[in-house]
Amino acid sequence: MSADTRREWSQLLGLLARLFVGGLFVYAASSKAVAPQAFVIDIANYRLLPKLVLPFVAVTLPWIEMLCGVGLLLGWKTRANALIATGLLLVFLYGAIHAIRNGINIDCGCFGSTTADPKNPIDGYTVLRDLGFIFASVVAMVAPSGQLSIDGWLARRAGERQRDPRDEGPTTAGATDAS
Amino acid sequence: MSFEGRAVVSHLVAATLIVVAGVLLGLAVNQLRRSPLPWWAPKQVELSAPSQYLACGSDNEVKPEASGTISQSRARALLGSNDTIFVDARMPNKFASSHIRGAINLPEERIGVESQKTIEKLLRYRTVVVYCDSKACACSAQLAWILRTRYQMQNVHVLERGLGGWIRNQYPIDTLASQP
Repeated sequence: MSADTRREWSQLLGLLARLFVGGLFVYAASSKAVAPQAFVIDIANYRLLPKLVLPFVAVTLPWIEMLCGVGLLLGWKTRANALIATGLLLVFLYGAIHAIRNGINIDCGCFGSTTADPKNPIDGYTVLRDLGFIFASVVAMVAPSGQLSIDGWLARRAGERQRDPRDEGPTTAGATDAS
Repeated sequence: MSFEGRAVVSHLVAATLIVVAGVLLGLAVNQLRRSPLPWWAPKQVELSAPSQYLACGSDNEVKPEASGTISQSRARALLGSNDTIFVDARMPNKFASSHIRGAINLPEERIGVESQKTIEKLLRYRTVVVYCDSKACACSAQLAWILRTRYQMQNVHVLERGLGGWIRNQYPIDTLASQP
């Protein structure tokens, strides 16, 4: 396989991973953001955080997820957003393992309480699913695609400016996220 | 600092700024809500789950001291009062066949965004009495816990011995036969 083909496959994989994780985060955030009263209970059930900060986390976390998801879908600051997504997914994975180890029989609340089903608690499948999400997020981080992305568009624009001697504006090649 | 090092720092800075923006956005949206969630947990609200997450229909008896129960006779005295509402936590088919007179149906399993209108209705009453089949039925305790914690309703009581006790006491009910 030539280097060009490998790069194309890597770009395609990065694009798919970015769109998947972005869509996942927007979906998860939207259901949590509409009902923070329900989400605060979901977080409390993990018994990981002090009570005092639970409402703050319930109010802000869905919107961090939302910005991160939209950023990934648009391909804006891809690596930074994929870094946040990976960090959040690692925290969720820790929460799931903590619940299993301590026999806490709860729904994960991963996609908000509107889908909560206490008869379908956190189990090994939840952990495997989280690991899959983390893998996709890491792929989006290490192989960011310039296709269908604001980062790619900015990089191309910066490249064109550098080639055009009439354009005396500041170069932005180093400022793009996916470069 | 090398180009790679600068790039890593720039990604970290961007990630931090996105997180900060998310926090500010979340706080702003919360303040625009009709009933914003307090940033810090109010002391009077119980935020932890019951010791066991009971499933509706499980054999765990409702413990009066744990769930804020109300006796059959006291509940009967409240029936018909303008500031009290009875909530049937069973599934709609059971509710349709028989329920306490004037009760509304809110199965615990279906609580969520789609039940928002019912929740808004409940918030207009001072006292809410929740019930299910019998004292061995846990969904009323579960629903009461959700109403108290998730929706911060203060006056939610679980009816002791449930609809079974109510019927044995020959208190008023609506049945399929009695409905128009």
